[in-house]
Amino acid sequence: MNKPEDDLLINRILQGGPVAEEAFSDLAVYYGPKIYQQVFRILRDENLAQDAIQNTFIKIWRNLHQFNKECTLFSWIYRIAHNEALTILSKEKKQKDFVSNSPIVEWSGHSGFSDQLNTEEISNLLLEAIDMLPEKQAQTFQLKYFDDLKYSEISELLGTSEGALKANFHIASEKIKEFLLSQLNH
Amino acid sequence: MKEQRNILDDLKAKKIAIPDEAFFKSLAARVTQDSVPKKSAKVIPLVAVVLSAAAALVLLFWIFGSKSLNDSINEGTISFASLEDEEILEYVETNIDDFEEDEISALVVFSVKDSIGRVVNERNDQNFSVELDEMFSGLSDEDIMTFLKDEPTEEDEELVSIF
Repeated sequence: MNKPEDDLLINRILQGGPVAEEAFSDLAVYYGPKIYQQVFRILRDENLAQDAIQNTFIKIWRNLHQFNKECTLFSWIYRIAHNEALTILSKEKKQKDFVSNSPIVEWSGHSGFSDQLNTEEISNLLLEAIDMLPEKQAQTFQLKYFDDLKYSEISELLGTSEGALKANFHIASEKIKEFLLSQLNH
Repeated sequence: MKEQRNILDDLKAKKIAIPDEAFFKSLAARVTQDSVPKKSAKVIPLVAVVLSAAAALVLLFWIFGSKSLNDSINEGTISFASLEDEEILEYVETNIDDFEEDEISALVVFSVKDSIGRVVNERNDQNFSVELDEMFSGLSDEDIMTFLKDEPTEEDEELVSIF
């Protein structure tokens, strides 16, 4: 699906009626999968991720009129989804000993590092490292590293130049690498 | 040296099973059917707010300011002698919500004390207030206003004269 024009999408949704419902469906179909991956990495549970996605889209539908266009629509949605996922994660951790056994990365071939950490442990550390990044760097890193999007696609989503995105990705990678190595040497 | 290698190169992101398009379409349909999007709140221009406030002040001055304010201050109460009883009653009736419960009960205490012959020197006589609260506890504001309007009695005349 081609990226819909955000302004057009927003205007159609704010019109209300069947036009709004159709536009909202387009929004969900285009942004839904990208956001789903984001929340799944945080929650690492299919049902919880779907709950977070549902809450996210309810908030988008109810609060789109408040979107002030200071960032791209994707960034706004990303932020809502991120917060929803963290809220759900926090509730789950309070209610029970929440343990996710669904790693988000795996060792490629035989890595020397794999002797020290299993995929679950390195996944947790990686998420911790991403969480410490500034939002733009975190978004860029995830869209590039995990979702393997082209810089041109990320540029369209985040409204940032490709050059700036490359710099963001480089800095983010360095910070993450530094964090992971410090944890491994600890 | 392991530390000099990029650890991220040794990691591979796992594929996430993303729900299909039908899931997101169905989700969107559920969301749009269950709730209505909020519209932007209507922004009231500052000029309109200022004009409204000014109009309210003029109205208040017209009602209270022009009625022998100085004399009223000297007496400790506002004198409405120049107003017709009906005008006062109509004003109170229309603006009953603007009066605090305490204000109304204080005035009622003051007026009723004479009619039932009790000697209460101060308006804030606590015991008497409690008794009155009990007396009127079953009556709503509307009941009282209907009574005052439809059943004028000597007490009402006194009440009006106090105003």
